[in-house]
Amino acid sequence: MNPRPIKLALVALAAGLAGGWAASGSAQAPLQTCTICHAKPDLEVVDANGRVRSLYVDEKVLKTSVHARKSCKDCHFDVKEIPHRDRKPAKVQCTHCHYQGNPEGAPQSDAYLEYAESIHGQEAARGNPQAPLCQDCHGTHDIRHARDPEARVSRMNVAETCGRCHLKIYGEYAGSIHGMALLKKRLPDAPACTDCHGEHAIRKKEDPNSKVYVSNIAETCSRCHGNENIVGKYGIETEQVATYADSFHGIAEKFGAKTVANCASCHGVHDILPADDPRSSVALHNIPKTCGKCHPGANKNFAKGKIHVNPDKAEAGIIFWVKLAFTVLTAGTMAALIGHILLDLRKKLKVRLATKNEGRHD
Amino acid sequence: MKPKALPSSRRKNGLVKRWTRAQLFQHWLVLLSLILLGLTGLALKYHAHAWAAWLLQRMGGPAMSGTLHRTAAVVLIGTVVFHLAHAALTEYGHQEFRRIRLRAQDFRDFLHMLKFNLGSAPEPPKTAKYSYQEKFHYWAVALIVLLMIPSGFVLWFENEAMQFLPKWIYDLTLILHGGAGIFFFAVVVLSHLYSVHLDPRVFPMDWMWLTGTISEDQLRARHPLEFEELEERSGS
Repeated sequence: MNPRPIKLALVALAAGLAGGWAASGSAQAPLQTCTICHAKPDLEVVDANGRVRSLYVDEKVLKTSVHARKSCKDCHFDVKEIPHRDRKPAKVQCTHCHYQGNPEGAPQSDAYLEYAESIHGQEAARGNPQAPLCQDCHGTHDIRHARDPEARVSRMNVAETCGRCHLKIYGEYAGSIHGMALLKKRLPDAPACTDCHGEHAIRKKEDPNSKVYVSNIAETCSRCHGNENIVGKYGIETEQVATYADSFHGIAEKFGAKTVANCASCHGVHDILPADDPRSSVALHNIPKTCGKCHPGANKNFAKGKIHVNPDKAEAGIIFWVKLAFTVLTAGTMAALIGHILLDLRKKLKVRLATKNEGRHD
Repeated sequence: MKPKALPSSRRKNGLVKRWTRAQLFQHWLVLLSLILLGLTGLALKYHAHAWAAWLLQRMGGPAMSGTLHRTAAVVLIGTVVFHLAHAALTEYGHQEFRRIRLRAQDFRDFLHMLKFNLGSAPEPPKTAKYSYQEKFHYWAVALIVLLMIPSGFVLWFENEAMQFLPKWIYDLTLILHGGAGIFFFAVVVLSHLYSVHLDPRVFPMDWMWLTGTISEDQLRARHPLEFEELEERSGS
């Protein structure tokens, strides 16, 4: 005989008894009622897709989450009867509390609006079953604040959370300098997915409002790579941002060109590696290939000379000296020319004044 | 061999013809192409400044501005070719070229003028058709144009050029082109500002570049040797 119906019958009996107290009980009572079944680690159902889903809720997990003071029915308010085997409780709507101006004491945030406009929110609204809802990133009973290292959306965990759906990209990222720095070396300054893509407002890269849209890439990268306080600690130069902005690539990009090279065109996207790594797209031997994506026939001449060259620094060598020579030459010539002009002007005015006075004497 | 007179009649109603139509035309082409080259070049070089960004945007963005720059460059190169052909193939052009050649006398005139302006020489140097200022200016422009044309071609055909040139030479070319360009405009604008506009003898403007003529009085005062030569010729 299958033990399952017996188990469920027992649960139903217990729940029925418990429901009796609950009607007149305190706010905590429903939690205790629910735990009659849901505190059992082996409580499982087979869902519509034939997958076994655990319905076990570890009370300790809930008690250490941000919702420690909430009871089951605060979120699962549609559960009106026990047992509810035939009437499956609806998916929890976080926006029931999480909206700007809510009276529940939930954080006052517009995150849900940002989410609605994001690619995730739009796909969810379109009915795409793979699109993530709040719970898919934040968790369910185990939701913790992003600042909490244990949270699924904490700095150190968010990449893995995104990777649950974006597995291939997670693999590329994990092997990149950014992924290694964050996941292996645990450097809190290293970027996780959300630093480049945003959090609730994640948009497709084709969307002009996306942080990773072609015209926004340079700005997104420069938030760290242009900030001495962030990258300076690791011996990374910030002048790459300025030298790019001053290059033909950077100028064209600034004025709206869509086909010009941005940071990612040369350095890669999720798989970014430093130039001294032989696998890097900007390693010396890979430069011809990388430049060749846009510049037909690019050869090893492209690798002879610094790419992010700063003509105002002595390290630029002859480029620095020639620029300095022109500055000196131009300033010197201007000074000499102005001197020459002023001397000439003074003399001419003097002569003119003298002739005038002579005319008066006559 | 004495320089010959202009092909057209030189003196008329107290005016002396100094530049032929071919010369005025060259000046117009250089003027227009340089203004366009200067606006587009400077806007690109100083793109980080608001005025330059505004200008660059007005001119249709960097791509359009670049097309304008190269169009103007082709006009300037055409003018250079015309200028050289005019000097090499016409007798008058050749005379003019001989007149503008640098001589030791020009450096002596320069020192002489300094002395005069500082009060230690009683008279200014006697100037022929082209003063030492004009000659220095002409040769500075010629040298810089000779630098700008090949460097400009490297920047224009960067993919082709980099088949032979390493990246650092390309970067150096960019610095040369920009540095020489700034030098060029500083010199051209400042010298013209004085010699054509603010010089008390011509203020507010010397009209010669539009009419090709100068008054006899002006010629006597500013180019005495040329005037003497003219008198000699008229007398004979």
